[in-house]
Amino acid sequence: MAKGPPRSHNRIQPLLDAAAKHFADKGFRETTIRDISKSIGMLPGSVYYHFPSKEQLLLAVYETGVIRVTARVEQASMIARTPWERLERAITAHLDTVLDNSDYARVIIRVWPDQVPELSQKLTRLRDRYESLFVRLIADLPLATNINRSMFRLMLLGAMNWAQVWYRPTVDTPNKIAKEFLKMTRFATDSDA
Amino acid sequence: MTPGAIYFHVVSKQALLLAVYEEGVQRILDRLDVALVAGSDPWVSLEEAICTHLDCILDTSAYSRVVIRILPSDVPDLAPELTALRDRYESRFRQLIAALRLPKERDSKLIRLFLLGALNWTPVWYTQGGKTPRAIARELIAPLRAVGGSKAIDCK
Repeated sequence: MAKGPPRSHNRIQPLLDAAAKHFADKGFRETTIRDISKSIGMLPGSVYYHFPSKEQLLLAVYETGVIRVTARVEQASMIARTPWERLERAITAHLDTVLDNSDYARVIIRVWPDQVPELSQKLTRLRDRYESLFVRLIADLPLATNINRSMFRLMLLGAMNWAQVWYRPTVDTPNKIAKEFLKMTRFATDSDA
Repeated sequence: MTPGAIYFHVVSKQALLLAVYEEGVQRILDRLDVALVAGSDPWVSLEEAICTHLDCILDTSAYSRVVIRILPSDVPDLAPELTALRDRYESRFRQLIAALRLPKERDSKLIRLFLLGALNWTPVWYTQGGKTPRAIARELIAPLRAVGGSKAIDCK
């Protein structure tokens, strides 16, 4: 990712943060390296020293976003005692991250792999790695056999990410939302369908 | 470009977006009207609505994809209009879910938002030639049906 001696690392974080903000606010296509560099008083050439292209910069931002949300979700689900509780905590942590509205969280939700053809495979792999957390959590649930776990996972991810659009902190909390979302499948254990 | 020209450019781009968004919403509503038959079983109606919504947003040539990709927050100047337009078809889902008469303890608002979120995410993972929208719609409803105490029924 970074080229050059270690001292340049302290230039990278502000650059990544600025890139995250621009990608989050304007999307990938509309953002230019010039916008990003100008916002932190860097020359475009200096940006290219660290990241040879806008795509590489996006990739670094995306990776950071995925690493952060993964860490949060893993940490939260570790302290649970049952599979249901584990998933509930994971959903709550994912919602916390998404609803925090941090620039990195907004980028990984807003920028879809198909929007950046050059990176679409890598971005998809990053997403898949994150989703594998939920694959495991959902695999552990005692669900009725007619429930398609893959579909439930995809539904859950969609539902969690859409919360960014409608969420109002005074009305609902991430945990309250997590509980209701989980109910979408919890009672399916008793189904005789 | 003169300031006037820039202003014209931005205003007309926004006007275009609004028109496309409106068209996208109207197309979903029109198709919902066709698909929903008054007096049907509420579970059948909900499944039809979900299936229709999916057809609209999975069709890559359709206006309706704009509705789920452009968020009101992306275009602050138009946010009120875009939100009002989206509310028009979301309120259909509100009615459809109310008709299910789910147990009181359930939060219909969150259920609606769960379903819409799940639906609107499908273009991210959907592959052409994969499951049909109807199969997806059925699976989207299956967990809710289990809660509602209603078994899956065979629709057309």
